[in-house]
Amino acid sequence: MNIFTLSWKNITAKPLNTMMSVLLFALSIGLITFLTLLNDQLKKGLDNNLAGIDLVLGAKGSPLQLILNSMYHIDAPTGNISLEEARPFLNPKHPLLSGAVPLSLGDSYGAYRIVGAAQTILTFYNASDIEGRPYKEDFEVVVGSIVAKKLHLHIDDTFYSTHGLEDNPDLAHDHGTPFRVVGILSATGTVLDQLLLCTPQTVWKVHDHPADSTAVEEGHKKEDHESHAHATGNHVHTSMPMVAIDSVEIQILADSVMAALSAQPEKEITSILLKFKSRTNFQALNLLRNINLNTGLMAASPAIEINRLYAMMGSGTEALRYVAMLIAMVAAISIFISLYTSLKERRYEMALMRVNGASPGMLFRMIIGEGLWITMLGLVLGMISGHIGMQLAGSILERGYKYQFTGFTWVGEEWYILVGAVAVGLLAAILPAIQGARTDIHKTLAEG
Amino acid sequence: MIQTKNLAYTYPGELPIRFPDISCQVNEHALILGPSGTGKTTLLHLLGGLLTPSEGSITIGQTNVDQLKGFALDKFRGENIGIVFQKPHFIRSLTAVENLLLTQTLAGHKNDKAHALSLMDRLSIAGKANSLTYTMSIGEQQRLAIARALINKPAIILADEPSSALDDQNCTFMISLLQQVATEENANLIVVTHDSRIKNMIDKKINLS
Repeated sequence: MNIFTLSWKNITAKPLNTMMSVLLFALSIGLITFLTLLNDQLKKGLDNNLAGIDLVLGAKGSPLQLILNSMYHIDAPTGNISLEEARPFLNPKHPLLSGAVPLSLGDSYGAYRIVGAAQTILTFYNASDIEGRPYKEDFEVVVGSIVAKKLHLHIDDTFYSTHGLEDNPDLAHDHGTPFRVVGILSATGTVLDQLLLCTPQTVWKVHDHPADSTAVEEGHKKEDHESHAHATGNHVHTSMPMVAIDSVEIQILADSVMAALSAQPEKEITSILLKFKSRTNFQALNLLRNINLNTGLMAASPAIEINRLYAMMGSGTEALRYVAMLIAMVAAISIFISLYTSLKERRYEMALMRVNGASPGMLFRMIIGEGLWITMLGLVLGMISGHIGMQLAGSILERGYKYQFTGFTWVGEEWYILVGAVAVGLLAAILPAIQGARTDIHKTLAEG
Repeated sequence: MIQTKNLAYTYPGELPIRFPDISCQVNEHALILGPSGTGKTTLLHLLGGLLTPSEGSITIGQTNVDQLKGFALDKFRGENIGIVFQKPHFIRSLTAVENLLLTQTLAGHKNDKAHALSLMDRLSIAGKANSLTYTMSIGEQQRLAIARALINKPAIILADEPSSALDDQNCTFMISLLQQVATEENANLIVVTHDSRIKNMIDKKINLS
């Protein structure tokens, strides 16, 4: 009969008292674990999507909104900008810029955004492999890995987009030319996984198209297409091999898109993602201020805006973290009280143990053991539920934040939670343990 | 074998209580008699190493118990002294047999479940081995208390008013059981009591006054 076995038997002999302390402790640990995982993944997700982009150009409005909309694809656009105004920044010979990706937003499919963009967006986000090929013609789309999985899209599938950025069947463009999937990207861990990409011109054409009811028969919706395929059984989705994306080919495709855009200065786009040639160039650093002061466009720096956003979200999670710590304190007090009251009830037991040869140190270890068992149970339960909670919340957050969350990960900060929890448990148990170790055998036995 | 000389204990702010010398050879049992307030419990706690005498000496076997302190005293107590209290108390969270195993652990002995069970069998409570102690009858609890006092094969068994709560029949049974097992284990049995029913059962008597 090990002394820690005795500790275990002692706490399980009073399951209700123990459960109360364990649950309180688990609640705080679960909350702290969840917040830690959430914070870590939000930060990683935000950082991943920075993708080396130095500046975003768009219509005047909120700079944070522009960044969220153009880089994270989670907010409405600030408005459109004319190509006339934007043309200087699309010039491949711009002295300060090493790359520019014009974006056209406005449509979606199954709540995933369709982004009209120059093909260089693939190199911006480090997309490495593709099944099929990059988009070339209008109405050809390349879909992100998550979109393909969630919407069951395959090469050569066709579909109609929905007007607006939300999944609203009433706004479906069920006429005109359907989109056709020509490529599926490998996972990048960035927002690209949740986008459908096509040429900027495609986005204009979807909206320019006159309402033409006869066109309905031309293409069929993807759902029809699929049911048809399954019914006849001779249409099989052949998955093509993943091939590496050729950056030279991408550049050529993008150049032709850029040329086409430049030829239509009266048209509008939503925004432009820019990369500097050098981040230390004085003129490049002044570009943001110059654009905002001297043009009708707005420039926003992703790094600055994301830091601002992170600080705002950080204060929210910070507040929750304090709540969790408060619960941890209540849990510690609950452990303390439950050990202390059981100590009073067990005074005679402890005197008996001393009679039978137990040293004061042994009683001390027994009570510390009880505190640690409760802490461990709460810790394990809390950490497991924190991770499961993150996994469950992940599927909800994924839609909102446009990148993946997982509960099945371990971040470095969790070691601190572990150590902190054990420290709290020890702290709660130490006074009762000292009290227990000091049990006066003679007095206790004489009093009965 | 136990021997005391000029034993006295002083409670803070009180006059010392002096005790007559006690000497028991191997297998000799003794009765300590006296009305309430004559220091019976104090003497029992001195003999059991729960209190340290302010004067005099206690020798159990070859050991001067009054010289032992701290860890050494705890260890000596665990290995050599078994005490049966007036009211049986146990660790509530443990079963009957687990209480015996814990007593082995506390004395620094290896757990010997077979020994614990055979001891319970000798005391006719083997059937209660896996019961929680507070579900057992008082009679069974008292026998378990005896088993616990015996489990580490002590040199001395001290019994504090073991019969005061029992009727005549059970009183006689309890004392003869204690005598019997003490003799079997070659231990000295010392019974502290004010119960006059026991007087004729043990020859050696020490009167406190």
